[in-house]
Amino acid sequence: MKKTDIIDVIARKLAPFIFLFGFYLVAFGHRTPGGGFQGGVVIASGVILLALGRNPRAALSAFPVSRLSVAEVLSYTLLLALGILGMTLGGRFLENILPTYGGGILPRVSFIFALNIVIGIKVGAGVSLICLHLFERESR
Amino acid sequence: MGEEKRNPRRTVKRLFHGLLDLIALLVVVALFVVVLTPGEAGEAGRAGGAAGAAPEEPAPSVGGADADGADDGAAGRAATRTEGGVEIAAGRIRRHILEHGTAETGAYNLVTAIYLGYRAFDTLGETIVLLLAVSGVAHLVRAKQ
Repeated sequence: MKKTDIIDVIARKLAPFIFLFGFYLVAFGHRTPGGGFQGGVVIASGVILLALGRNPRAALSAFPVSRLSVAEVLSYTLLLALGILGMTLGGRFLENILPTYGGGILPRVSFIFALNIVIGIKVGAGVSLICLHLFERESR
Repeated sequence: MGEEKRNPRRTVKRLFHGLLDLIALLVVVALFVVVLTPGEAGEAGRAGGAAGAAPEEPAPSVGGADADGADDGAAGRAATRTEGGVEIAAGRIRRHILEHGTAETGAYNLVTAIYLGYRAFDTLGETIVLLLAVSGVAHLVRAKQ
């Protein structure tokens, strides 16, 4: 595929809106169709679009492979920690402990909201890592 | 250094592995078919009733009736209800999720209520699968330097 400047310009202009839409899907996953997995894949597609330009290293300077790996592992650990948090307070693994321990401050859906965000970051980082590894291999 | 590949041995070995793969594939397909087809006694309903007896969220209406799982499928399958002119065959799990899903989990999106509320452990398994895929790709791509 011939890499022209058009892809570069359009990708760099469009990527922020793709990320915004991905975050919207993740954040509103408990109300509208969407959620962690769907929004995460959209975020990854924004990263991949940036990598398709003429100079992928410059375009991807905000998403190096090491940073994405750290983000993926951290968010997975956070997911496990959210699950164990319920167990420390006397519930079950991954149980929503907000009805019994959160008081009246946080609504019950905050647990699902937090899980959505964590899963969104994890899936976004994971899928973009897969594609970035394959792009690295291709350019060798 | 002439390496003579024994043709008959190699063919038998490949046939053997191919046969094993075929048997594994048939077993997996048979398992899917058995679990997913609604049989005479409502196998899917019974499996759903047995699995629903121990949900993630405390649901007294579902957990209380796990003793009569045998006639669960039949009773649930026979009961239909009309909603907006469309008849919905309501099994117990489906009815419970439709009626109490929003109240118990807080999510208006019932799909999210199921996979992050009632069955969040399976979602954890999904993330493990993704982690495995990413590390597999990273390993296989780097190894060929």
